[in-house]
Amino acid sequence: MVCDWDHRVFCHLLIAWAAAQENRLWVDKYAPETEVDLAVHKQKIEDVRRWLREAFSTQPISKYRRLLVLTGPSGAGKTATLRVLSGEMGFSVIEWISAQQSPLDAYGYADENISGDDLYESAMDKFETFLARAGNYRSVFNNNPAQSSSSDSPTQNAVILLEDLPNILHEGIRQRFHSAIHRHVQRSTIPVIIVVSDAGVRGETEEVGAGPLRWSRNNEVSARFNPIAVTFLTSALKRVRIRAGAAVVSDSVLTNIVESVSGDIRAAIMALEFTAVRAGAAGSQKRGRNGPANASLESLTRKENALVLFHLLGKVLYNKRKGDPPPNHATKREATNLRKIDSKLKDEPPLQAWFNHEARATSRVSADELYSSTPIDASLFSLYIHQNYTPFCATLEHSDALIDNLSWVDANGGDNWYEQNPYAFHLYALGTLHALPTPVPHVGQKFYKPELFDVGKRAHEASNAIDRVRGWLSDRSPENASTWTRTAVALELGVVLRAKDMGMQKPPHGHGLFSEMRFVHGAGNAEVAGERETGGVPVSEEEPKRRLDGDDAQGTWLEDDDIEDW
Amino acid sequence: MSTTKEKEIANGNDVPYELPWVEKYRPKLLDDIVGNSDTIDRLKVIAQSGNVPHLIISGMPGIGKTTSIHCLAHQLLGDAYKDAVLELNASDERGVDVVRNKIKGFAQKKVTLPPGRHKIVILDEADSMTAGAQQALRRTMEIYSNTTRFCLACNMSNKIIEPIQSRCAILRYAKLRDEEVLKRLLEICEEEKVQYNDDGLTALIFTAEGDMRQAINNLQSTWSGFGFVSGESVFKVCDQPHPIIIRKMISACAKGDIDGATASLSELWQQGYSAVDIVVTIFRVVKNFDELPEYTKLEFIKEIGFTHMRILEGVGTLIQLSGLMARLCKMGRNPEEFKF
Repeated sequence: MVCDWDHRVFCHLLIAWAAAQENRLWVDKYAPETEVDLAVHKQKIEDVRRWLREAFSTQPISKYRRLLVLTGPSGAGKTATLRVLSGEMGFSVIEWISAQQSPLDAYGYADENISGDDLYESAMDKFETFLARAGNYRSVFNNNPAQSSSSDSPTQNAVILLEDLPNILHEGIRQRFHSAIHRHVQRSTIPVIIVVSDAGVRGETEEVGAGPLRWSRNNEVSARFNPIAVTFLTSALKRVRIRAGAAVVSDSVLTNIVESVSGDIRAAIMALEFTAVRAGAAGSQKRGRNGPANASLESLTRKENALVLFHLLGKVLYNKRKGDPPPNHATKREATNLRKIDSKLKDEPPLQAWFNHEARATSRVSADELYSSTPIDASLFSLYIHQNYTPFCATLEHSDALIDNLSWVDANGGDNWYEQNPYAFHLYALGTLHALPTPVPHVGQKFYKPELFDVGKRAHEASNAIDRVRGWLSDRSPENASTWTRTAVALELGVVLRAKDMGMQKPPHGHGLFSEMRFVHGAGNAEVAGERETGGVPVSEEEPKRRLDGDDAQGTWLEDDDIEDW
Repeated sequence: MSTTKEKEIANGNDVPYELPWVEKYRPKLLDDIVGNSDTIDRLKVIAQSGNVPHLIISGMPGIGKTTSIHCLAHQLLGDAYKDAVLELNASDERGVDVVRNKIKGFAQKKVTLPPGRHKIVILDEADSMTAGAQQALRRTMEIYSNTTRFCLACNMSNKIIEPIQSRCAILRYAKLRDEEVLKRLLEICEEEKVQYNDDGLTALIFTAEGDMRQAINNLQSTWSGFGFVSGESVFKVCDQPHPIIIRKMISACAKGDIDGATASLSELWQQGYSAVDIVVTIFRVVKNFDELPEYTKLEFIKEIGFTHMRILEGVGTLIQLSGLMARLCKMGRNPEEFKF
């Protein structure tokens, strides 16, 4: 009996296990196993592979291969690349999973009274312990080579993967985190790989992600992953489709998915799985084959930064109004449809005579309806308008009115509302509609993402680089470090460094006449400032070829503006 | 003694205790949910097939986000609902620690479920989670996705960090149409034998602005307070200025009739409405007021927003509102009149 029971339990477990395998998300089930399956660009894989090979080698270079930072948007294959390479190169991945439950936690949570202060172990403590232990991992094997089970690689290589980073928004914690990493890098031979996903289109949550990148010492290498290219994405999806046996998903739907996810392969596979469920069900219900699947897909997969926004922008920027002639390519049916829509629209009530030039035909777009149907906050909306409005304006007056409205809304009540200004969306939409010409000339306008985030990111990186240079300076000559302000490094030292990079190791004699001046001590403040100015000019006069430094300086100015903007 | 007491309790039905109608008439099945039929259809398919992906449902308050997640979870899990669902909303503690420990603890918990079903973590109002907590959630979602799926409800999906968006299917709920709200209200009126007139229902829909929860709550309060649902009583219950007065006021402004406008304003002021109440209702009326041409609407909204901002800064006085009236009226008058 007992045996029978055991057997039953076993069977049950087996079934449960099989079911669990069956029930995994496709993202996990069909995760790439070899380089061929990986949709990442070959060059990028090669970069990471070379880094790893150097890190595991016994060459001196391995000393500089202790810390790798992989950055990029989510779903670009950062972790997947690492997993694949781990299989291929035969190293193990030790992953930090935050707060693996200790028995203490379990009690502590069940009854908070039990966990007194002395029992509490902060996440940071745990992290430090983890790093310390993981750092010793290899040395254990080295001491007992006999126990190493794998014969082909006598020393089992390992990397530490940090993906689920501790919350490092707090400055103190961030420093502890950095010093823990720094300590590890100095003492241990196990390379650390940090995976940081870009937090979002907004850039507002960036601090969380970008935080760890601000290392004070720079023996880390970082590799930037780009969104996955359309061709790679398509072929990867096709492979998943075959493996999953989801032939119901037609090619056109596949293309649709690829277009809508903006290079995020994880989102793409999620969408594919979802569509397959849907398509299967629709098939069994004998629904129309392509129509519903397509329609459902559209609202399903679009991420907010892509199609929704462009759809919304199109509605506003094309500024269609009652009585507009139908577009040239419109079929007869579309034209009659438009007329039908128009006939339902009420005429605008008359405007007073003195506002005559502001009179417009009734818009086919209702700002209020747009507002309720689009879950996009007004500030992002305004950014996109700001980036894209120019090609839709026919005259300078149109641009003027439009930008005037944008800036009015920005200036009135930006900060006084907490998060959401309930008026902003209506004002942006109505104001833009009102300012644009009607009908808007179609000249093949395209929509672009706001450059603000890119510029912001570049400025952020430039600012980090300045700090790094300052750190470097203070390492070389601690006594002079304080004279190098951030501005001075960016504006003055930048030129020198650039010249140095161009291979000008030996500058002509006499440069001391201007370049040494800034180190004179004991002079009054006013004088120093004056000398600096004269010090700056000759550089550009003497080396007119290197005028390029203009964009260097621009970088910093942008950063200053930018900080105020945020 | 004790027997009579027990009897009283047993006859508890006699005591006129009423469940809030919002709860009483909360849909139990996905089929009963009003509006957003396309999206709901898709959820029904999932409810059948069982393999629910991570979900983000976003949209305005009161349009059935949480309700549809609950329905989905009930239909998927049946009796196991109690053990296999962890629900956390903004009133629960949801810092990084909770994500690390409570959610993780739940994800590791063993629950016997029918094959093809998963435990579900419901995070209501997920956009109020800190970025740090969301970051911590990210990896958890991935590690335990074999056994646990996450359903997030939020008002603004862009407050959810991109790495989480990437892991979820995002469903957007549109605002409920007035007819949809109306239909549900009529059903409840029927069920509860509520007496009403059309004016009352219109008022309910106006004050609710597509928020079903608010509409039903207001219906119940009006009915239990006044015994009849009329426009008048609805606005009294909601404590909002009557839009008819506001409309009168705005029409006066559009014509440049300052006396008419301030008369309506002081009428409202004497009824005791606060400056914020008044200015919010003005905005609600203006944005859908078809007597105003586009340009006037735009300029009016600018002024209203400006005044609202001043009121929020602490000057919720009659002077501010009168100033608003004056500025609106000025637009309704010929600029020649202001030249000297």
